[in-house]
Amino acid sequence: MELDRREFANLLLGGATAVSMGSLGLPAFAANNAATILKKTDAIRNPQRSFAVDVSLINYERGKVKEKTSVTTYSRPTGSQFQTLVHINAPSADRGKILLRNGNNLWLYDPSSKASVRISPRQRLLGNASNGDVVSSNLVGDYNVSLSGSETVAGGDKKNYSCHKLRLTQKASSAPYSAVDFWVDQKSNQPIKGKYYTSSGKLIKVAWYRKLKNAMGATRPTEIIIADGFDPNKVTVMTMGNYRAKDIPSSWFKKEWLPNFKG
Amino acid sequence: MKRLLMHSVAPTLALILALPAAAQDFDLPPDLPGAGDVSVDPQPEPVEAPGALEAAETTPGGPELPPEVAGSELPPDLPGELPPEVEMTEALPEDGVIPEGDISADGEAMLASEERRGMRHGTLELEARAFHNTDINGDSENAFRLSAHYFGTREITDSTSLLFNLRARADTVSGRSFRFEDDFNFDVQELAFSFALGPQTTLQLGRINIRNGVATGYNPTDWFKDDSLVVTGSAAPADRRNERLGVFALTGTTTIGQTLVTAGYRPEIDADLGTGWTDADNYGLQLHRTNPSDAWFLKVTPPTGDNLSLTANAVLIDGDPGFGFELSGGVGDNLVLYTEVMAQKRLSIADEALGTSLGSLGFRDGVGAGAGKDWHYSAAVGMNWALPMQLVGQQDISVTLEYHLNTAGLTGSQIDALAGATGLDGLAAGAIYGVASRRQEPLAEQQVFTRAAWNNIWGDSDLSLLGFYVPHDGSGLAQISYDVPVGQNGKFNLRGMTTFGDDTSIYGANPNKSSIQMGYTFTF
Repeated sequence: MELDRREFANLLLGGATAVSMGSLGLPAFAANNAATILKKTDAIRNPQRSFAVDVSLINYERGKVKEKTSVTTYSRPTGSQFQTLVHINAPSADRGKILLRNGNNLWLYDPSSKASVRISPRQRLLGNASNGDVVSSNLVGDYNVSLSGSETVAGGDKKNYSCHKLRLTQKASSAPYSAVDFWVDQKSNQPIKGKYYTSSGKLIKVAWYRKLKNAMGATRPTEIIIADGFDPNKVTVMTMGNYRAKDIPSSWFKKEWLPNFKG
Repeated sequence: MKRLLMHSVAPTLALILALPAAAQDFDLPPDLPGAGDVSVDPQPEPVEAPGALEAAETTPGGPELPPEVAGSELPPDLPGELPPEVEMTEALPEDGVIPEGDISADGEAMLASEERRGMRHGTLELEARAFHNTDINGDSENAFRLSAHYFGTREITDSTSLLFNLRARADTVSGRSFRFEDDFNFDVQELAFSFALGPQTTLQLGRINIRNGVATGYNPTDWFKDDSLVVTGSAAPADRRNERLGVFALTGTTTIGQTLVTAGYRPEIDADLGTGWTDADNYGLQLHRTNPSDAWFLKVTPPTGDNLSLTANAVLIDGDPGFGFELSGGVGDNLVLYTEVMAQKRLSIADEALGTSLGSLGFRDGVGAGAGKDWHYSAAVGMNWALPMQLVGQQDISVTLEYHLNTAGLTGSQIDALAGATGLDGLAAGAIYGVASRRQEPLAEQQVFTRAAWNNIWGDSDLSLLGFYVPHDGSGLAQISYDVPVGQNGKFNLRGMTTFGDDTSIYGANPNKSSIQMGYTFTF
């Protein structure tokens, strides 16, 4: 495992301390610690440098495959967040379309018409996976975070993990969810599970992480199972593979560049 | 009673049905039979989730949980969450079907397959479409179109690629025999070389669809839309963008500091009619339509943060300048506001249509002809609102509303004059309608556009409604479209459109009163 052992130990200690001290009435300390945990988890979820990754999305409804989508995601860190291009490789009806995200700037480019249409983060393109799920993002950049305790929860592999439970509330307007409950493994900082809510507290979706693999210098989950909070018969599985470092110029993340895009 | 159900009936049902846990209360992920879990060392020692043995013994394909934890302690009953036994039952798909095969292997195999195949270079769409059209006099005709549309990019070298967008189509109309020379066409919508001079600099040479604008219903900054349509089967701007010819041009795009700059030149192409460069039967390139005059253009996209998007542009068409910009920004996660403005020295639509002699003096005065070239302003201001989850849950419903201004169009009194045209002035009025249609811009100085889209309204089918409306004369155009996917690559489409308003109104005067269409598209 590539995660630095000293950081790992510090984090474990920090996490335990945060929980106990939080209960002693030191919320600021706990919040800082929660942010540290989330930052470490973000670094596991996404390489913190420019990279590309291939992603497959399979939508299931009532247990049957409804749709398969394959995309390549190109991400470039900027500040605490990423700029992202999502190039759709399949299905053929959507081949060559590009989703661009730069903060709250979301564009969908159609190679057939050369048209770029500005869309909102709320609009969905890929089954249960929202635009926010498909683009690379650091949760710490989009949400305020607090530590709300420790819990044992089942991960994507159906095994139980002792986790930090983090409560995330929307900080940036581009954040796709109003609030998130996020469980992070106390020992490894691996993301285990997330529950995503509307501003009215309605559960939108649940995500489980699994299939840890080494990629770009860290052990990362390479599969996310996303269940629809409104209709549990709808499930999307995102599989990530072929992580690779890639220098990506900032000009790629302007919609006027999209007709010139070459992956 | 509820507790009894939770602890006895529900788990029993789960065992009988041999179905694993799913997502209802979301303590456990949906069961994915046969999915092997891959871990790397060192990994945290996981604690097996209780309640798994039953499923392991009864689920074909086998869940992942080992038997030794069966019947051991339940996971904590968290507030608002049910014990896993209940989740396992309530989460079952109603028809009891679980995903077949190894869901993870599916995803990985899909990625590997894409990698082996490499990125596909082109997309081929085949479409069959039947029309039932009714004209303004109430006469109807049936028509049928077959078309093949092939577009994409092919790498020639590391730095050079070929951009192509080609369409072949054959049309038949009831009551008239098929004539190959008239009814078959091969359109080169785009065909250009692209040269990458660096990671942030490209040149393109050839026929290119240069498209600008952020608005949905009308794009004032889209300089080269004039006379560009190859077919007119839909009033939806999104469809029309697919159905246009590019211009022959040289363009270059580069970055200066953080600003993206695109500059280009469209030469005038003056070729004889009846030749391959112009309107020869079957294969004419129609360059006389797309390159009627020379034009220089410039687009500048400066950095404007992570919410606003701004592109300014300048164009010089046949010596006449124009300046414009488009600006958009998001509000929250579901609202996009935008505006698009163009100021251009040009003729008004009436002046362009009537020239120096068409129409009586009274009519010409009435529609404002005779002013010559002047600065005209056009704008689209609008919003796209994706309905929030509090209202519609996971449904994807969006509404677009736009206001269009075109000072080159007709004011209220000029619309009245147009509607009152009689005798030979009727021909002059027809010319005005024709120019507005050819230029793809509003004939009325002010109009409203709206569009509502409901994706996945029933299963995976999509419904969209759109309308243009001229407040001054109460005329407009409405279109409804319903798309049903057929497998991953097929799509069935039903479309209906109609104009409304008096026969002499802006939209009501359209020779085509209504159209009902049925189409099937298959994409390779």
